[in-house]
Amino acid sequence: MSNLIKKLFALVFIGFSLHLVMIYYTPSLMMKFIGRNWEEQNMINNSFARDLPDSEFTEVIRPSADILYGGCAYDVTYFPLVIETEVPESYWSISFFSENTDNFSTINENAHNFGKLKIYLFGPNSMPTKVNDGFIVVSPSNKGLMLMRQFIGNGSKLDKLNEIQNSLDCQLEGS
Amino acid sequence: MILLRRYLLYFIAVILIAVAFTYASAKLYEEFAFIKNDNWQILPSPGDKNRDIYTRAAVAMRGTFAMAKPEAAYFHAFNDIEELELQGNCNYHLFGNDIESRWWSITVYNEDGYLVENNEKIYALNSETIDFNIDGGFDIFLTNDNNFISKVSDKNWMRTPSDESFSVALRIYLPGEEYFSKLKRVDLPVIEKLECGDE
Repeated sequence: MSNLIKKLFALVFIGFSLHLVMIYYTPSLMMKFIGRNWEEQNMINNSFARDLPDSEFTEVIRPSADILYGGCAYDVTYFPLVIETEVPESYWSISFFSENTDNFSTINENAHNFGKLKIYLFGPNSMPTKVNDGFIVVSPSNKGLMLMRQFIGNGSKLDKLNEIQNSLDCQLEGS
Repeated sequence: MILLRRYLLYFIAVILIAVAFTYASAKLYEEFAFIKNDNWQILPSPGDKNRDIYTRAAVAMRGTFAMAKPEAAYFHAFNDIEELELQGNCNYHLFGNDIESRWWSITVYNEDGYLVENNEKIYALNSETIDFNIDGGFDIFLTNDNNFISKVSDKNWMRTPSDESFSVALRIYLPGEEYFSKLKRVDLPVIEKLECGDE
């Protein structure tokens, strides 16, 4: 094989490898981009609430206009996060997204359908013990995002849903 | 100096090759990764932790926090039933039957993927707000023409952007596990073009 063809193969191989690296890290970079202001907005290990999205909302692409969003960004490197909220009678879910945007766990009305809800979120290197008063979720990454979605339906129970959204509490255990 | 120039050329070549692979993979992905069902397309596992790296990257760019099945199915339509791009200067009839699920909704997005500005502040219609027909079906109109709105429906209509293409999302929550094994065949609403402003 001539030297030129060898070089060409090497360039294509390195180019393709770089392409794979770009694709692999795109979700993590996207997460970093979306979360660039989380720290200054005090959203890490603290709950946040969002108004219903409208045409001015550009934080994420294709937002759902039927869902009231709340949640918290998390960093469970040193301590687990304790999430507490009420659940509504209408559809709701609490879903967890790792640093690379994977939806690794979702808890919804099929698992718990009434009253108060407590979730313990652990980091990847922890050995969670059994808890009696809630769910245990283990995140594959130390950092990520939890989103609580509440379906607004025809809007008649929006006040109650807002109240529930505001009751969402995220705190590191022991803090 | 010559050596430096040569390495710079190699570096540029590698970057160009990587960009070319990424561009080609994005095009091929559009073609092959989506399941098509008439005018709708869906990624079968947008939020799953076992998805491949291309799906993960595509979802991160298009709708970052998509949920894993069986929580939700996200269908998108960029074309009408005749495979023509949805255009804001045209009126559309979206019709179908109720969908068995916990709830479902239809949302219109502008070219950039954001909600369409409208004085009515109606950005989506869902299974609780849609006015169903007596037979259980529904008719929704997508339009930006006020005269057309007054003729068709008081309730079942949504504003489209005035002069650009748009897309429609159909979100179905908790449709049941087996729904995801027949995404190609499930009964979905049809989007039919009625007339266009410049015709």
